[in-house]
Amino acid sequence: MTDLRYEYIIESREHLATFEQSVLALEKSPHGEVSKALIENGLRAIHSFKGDSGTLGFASVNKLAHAIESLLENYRDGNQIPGTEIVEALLAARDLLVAQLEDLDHPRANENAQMIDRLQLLETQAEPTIPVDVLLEAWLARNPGKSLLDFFREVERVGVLRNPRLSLGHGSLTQDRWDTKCQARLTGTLDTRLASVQVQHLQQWLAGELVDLPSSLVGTQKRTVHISLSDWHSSSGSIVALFRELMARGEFHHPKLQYGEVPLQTGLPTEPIEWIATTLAAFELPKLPQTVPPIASAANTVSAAVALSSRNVANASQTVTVARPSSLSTPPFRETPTQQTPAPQPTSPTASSKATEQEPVPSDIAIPPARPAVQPDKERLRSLRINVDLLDRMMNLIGELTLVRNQTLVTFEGAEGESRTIIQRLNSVTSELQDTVLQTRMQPVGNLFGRFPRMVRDLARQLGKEVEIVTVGEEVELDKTVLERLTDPLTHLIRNSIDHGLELPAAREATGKPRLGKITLTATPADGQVYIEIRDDGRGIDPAAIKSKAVAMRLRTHSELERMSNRELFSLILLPGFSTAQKVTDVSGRGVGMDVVRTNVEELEGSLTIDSWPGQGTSMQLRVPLTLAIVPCLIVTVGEERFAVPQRALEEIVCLHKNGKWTLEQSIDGEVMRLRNSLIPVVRFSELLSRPRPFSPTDKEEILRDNTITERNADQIEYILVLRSSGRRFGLLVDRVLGREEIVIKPMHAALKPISVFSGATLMGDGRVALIADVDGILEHVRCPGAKAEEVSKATIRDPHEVHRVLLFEHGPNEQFALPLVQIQRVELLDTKRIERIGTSEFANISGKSTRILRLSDMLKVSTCEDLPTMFLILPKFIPEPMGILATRIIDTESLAIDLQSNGCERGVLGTARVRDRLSLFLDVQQLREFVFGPSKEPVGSSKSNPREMVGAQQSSVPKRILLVDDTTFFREIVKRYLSSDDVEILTAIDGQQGLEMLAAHHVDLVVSDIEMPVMDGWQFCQAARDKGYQMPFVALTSLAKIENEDKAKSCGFDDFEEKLDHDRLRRKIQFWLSQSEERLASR
Amino acid sequence: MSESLYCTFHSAGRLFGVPVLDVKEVTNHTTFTRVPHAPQEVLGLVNIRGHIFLAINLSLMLGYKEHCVKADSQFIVFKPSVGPSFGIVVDQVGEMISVPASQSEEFSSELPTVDGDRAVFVSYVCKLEDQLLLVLDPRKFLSRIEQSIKSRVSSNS
Repeated sequence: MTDLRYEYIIESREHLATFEQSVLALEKSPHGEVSKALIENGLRAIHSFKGDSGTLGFASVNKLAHAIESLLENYRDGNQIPGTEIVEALLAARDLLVAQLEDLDHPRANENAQMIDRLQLLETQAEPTIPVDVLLEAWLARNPGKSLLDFFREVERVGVLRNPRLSLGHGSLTQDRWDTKCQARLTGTLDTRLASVQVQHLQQWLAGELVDLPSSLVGTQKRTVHISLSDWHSSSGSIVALFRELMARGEFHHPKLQYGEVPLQTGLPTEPIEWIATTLAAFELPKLPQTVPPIASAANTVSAAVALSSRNVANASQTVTVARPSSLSTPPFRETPTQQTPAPQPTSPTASSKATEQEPVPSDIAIPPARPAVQPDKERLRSLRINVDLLDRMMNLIGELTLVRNQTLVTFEGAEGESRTIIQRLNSVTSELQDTVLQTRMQPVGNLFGRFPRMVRDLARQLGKEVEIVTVGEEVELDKTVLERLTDPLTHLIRNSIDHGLELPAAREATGKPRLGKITLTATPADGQVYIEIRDDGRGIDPAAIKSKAVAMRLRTHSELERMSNRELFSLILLPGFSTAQKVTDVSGRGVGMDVVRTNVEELEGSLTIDSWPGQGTSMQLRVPLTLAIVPCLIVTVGEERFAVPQRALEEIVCLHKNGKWTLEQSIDGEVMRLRNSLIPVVRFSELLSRPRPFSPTDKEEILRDNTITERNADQIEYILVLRSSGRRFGLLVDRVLGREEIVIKPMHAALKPISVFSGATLMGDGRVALIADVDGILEHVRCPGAKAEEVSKATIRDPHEVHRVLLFEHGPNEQFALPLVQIQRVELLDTKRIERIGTSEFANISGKSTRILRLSDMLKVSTCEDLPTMFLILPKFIPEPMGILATRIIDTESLAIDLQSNGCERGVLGTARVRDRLSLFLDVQQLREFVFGPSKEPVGSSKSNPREMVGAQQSSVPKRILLVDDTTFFREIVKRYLSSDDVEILTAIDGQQGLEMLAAHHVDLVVSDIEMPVMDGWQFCQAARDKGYQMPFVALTSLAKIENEDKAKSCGFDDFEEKLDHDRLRRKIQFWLSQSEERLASR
Repeated sequence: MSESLYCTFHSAGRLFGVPVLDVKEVTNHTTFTRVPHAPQEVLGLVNIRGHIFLAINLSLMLGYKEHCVKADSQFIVFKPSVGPSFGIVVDQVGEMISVPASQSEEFSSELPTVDGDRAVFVSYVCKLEDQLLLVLDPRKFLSRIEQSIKSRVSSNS
């Protein structure tokens, strides 16, 4: 029983969701096929729900569902769409049903009954009953020349008069003729099936406000009704229902059956059988199929033209034909011969190979069979409902299996022969299984997006706005947990967009926008993550408003704000208490929300970026991981104990040793570390672990006293993890860092939850449990405020003015090498035993790729290295071939403004600079690559291999001139070095302003420009240059590798867009655009 | 209640028992991952076939001073109906003993063998022929641990 209930709840939720969607869509869609399909969809859903509820005995719910169904059925024919009031009621009723699903044992009978009353009231209004109260003299006076008979004819034509009552005043009826002063008053009610607009006309007519009934209603002649019984039968079933239906509409005269001439002995007629009668009653005629052109003129026979167009046809006798194409109608007829039809009599064949109609006379009695009923069944067979608990258990078991696998691998490490292959298979099958199980937890984003149309609708209504929501990428899949946790932030962001972003319809019109505001919700998968964008076309965020608010709140100084890019400015609104909304509404504006959104998103290990164009709209981009079940963590030890620290909180690791440059210093109540320019409080993990109570001042004193820096502990090597959380930064001192691991998070045991410094536990490869540190909890526990972290840096992609961070390392004992971090993919530990040799080349297997090992001493005139048991392999970025630079020691990373001395350097070296008082060689990775793999491949589809050759071949006398605009010396140097040759002259400028000056002073063939620059950024520069009429190609060069930037680049006048440091591509681009520039010249 | 079946064990030199229906399994796990900041009664966490269990040091829980876990200590895991994934570490698990209702009586805290504060864990005392069997109520262990963590947090703030 409980299982059955469970199933019922799940299915009902789906039915009700479908119902909601249909009703919502219905409100928007025009008349016709679409709305008809939607209504049928909704009806099917609510009908199924009704059936299920009935079966399980939820009577009260069942009744309400029935009321919903019967209200909606009135609109089944699609001629009329339910008005707002009806939709409102249907949705309210649905919500009531949903609420009861959550608590099946306590049906809300009273509320249901009230709702049923409301629906029924609406239903009677849907088939309007019009009170009639007409002063007959007045009508006659308005219609000179007409008689009372005309009046009654008209009334009869439009409906059925119920409870008619004629009351007379003091006049007299004694005379033969009508005494126009007798105050004859007709009262009663008129049941009509006219559409609401027509009802209005009718009411006006009755009230005397309209002299004539609208032409659509006028037409006093009889009409002949032709109905093809076989069609009716095949599409709707009961003929009895048909006649019941017809009887409800009025009186029919001279009915007869008509069918083709068929000798009875040969069989039953295959021609359609038609029922023909004449009537004065007016009723909604079945609508025309769209393929049949309406006939405007009157016709007194047959034709497709019937239906709706008949309303426009005045004063003509009509033949109303309801028939399907005979080709369709015949087979069903054959299958069900004479059952409901009278015995055929041979007559002449009718001319009824005519009008077509998919659905017969509208009816609330006969339900046409739903056509696409087969398809969902097919789909259902391919998927299976699985209890989430079961999936979770599967996840756990897989985790366990992985452990077993790991243990097996360790146990049989040296095994040979058969057992080796078996273990390898175990290994691969386990990995695959793990992937598959992870996939089972994936759900389409559509499940989440689906709830927003309703919310948007309600909210828009509440705020008096007109809003449309468009969703794209519903099929993108995310882990169930991630999806659940995304609900709140997304809801909030959309609310924000509607409330703050979109203007009121009138305001929108005033600025030349459509009244209807648009919100686009897009999900796109990218590199193991999902981007979700919420874009509105509202008023956008005003950077000036943010600035003034930030100053008012003393968050930033004027000068700081001036230097910030718009995106940096927008990221300020993510700070707590920051709201630029003029007024606080029910919906949003309290400045709490965005902070919560950010926290939520960060908990998901995601990020949030905001772009906005004043007057044009705002775009908020969320980036979230596909799954949460597995989280990258750093494994550290304190004493003998291992702990996992989530890597999302980690900024960097600093190593403390005797000769290192970092030291701990004591401040008033704690230890601090000088990290570049900031002081960072340091928490000793060991002290933290031994003090279960939140730190008191005494604790802090003790810690200071116990850890005074002496010679003894200065010998020790310790590590400080620089962590950040909730905008605070601190160092966590640990004994050792074991490495990085992807761990499966298990919740903390319920009894231990109050311990705030751990957020959960995990199983390590050896089967032991390790605890996961909770960074926030630690900060709380040590009562340390933490250094204020730079809020902005996280929300922006990269700070353009940042000095460059380089990795310092050693190869041989004598030289120090440097490589910018932006050029490094990662650094791998390399077990020297794993190096394999082919001839003189050395390779190592790095994540499945045979990676070529570069020994710097083989290429440069530097000291050779001695092989240590473990060394480091630096894997560079932007190199197509897998290769790594061998290093014996990683010294540190250092931030510095690079001032390269490049005179007389050999190939492979960019230049030298003094770093930490040591001469350091800056490597040119591209050239090193060429040592090993030779020059870059020639680009496809081009006859020239690189700019120099090309230019040289064509115009050896006049070198091409490229203007390179970049504010960072280092990039400028690298790119310049890379591109320059005898044939290409490189001019440089440090910002847009200078760039413009250079353009004015020199002839330039191609401009390569950075985007983020001080004074005048790349966008402005390009636009200004274009405005001045410079025609040469512009290539944007930036670290902001994003699609929307590409769009923006195009709109500003850039011809192309390239990522910094991808030299190969840049070279090809430049070559291409140089040739373009020639063409542009030629075409002028 | 005519007769009850108890799983007996020795700890701190005394004989204890828990209702056998409360016991999920007995294992030989003796290495636990210490949970810093947890009360001293919590030995730590252990992974049994992919699930993490909380281990409680019974001797400490009952207030005895000798509390070291030996290599041959045993881990009694309780069923989920008793509390979420946890168990007690005892010196040695003994036999299943069936005790007639007549031999067991509700525990009164005046018995000198148990520290008054810890008396709440004892639900019955069974008078076996040669010694006393103290029947413990494992349902009370976890709440005691939660309490002691909470009281520490509140006492400080």
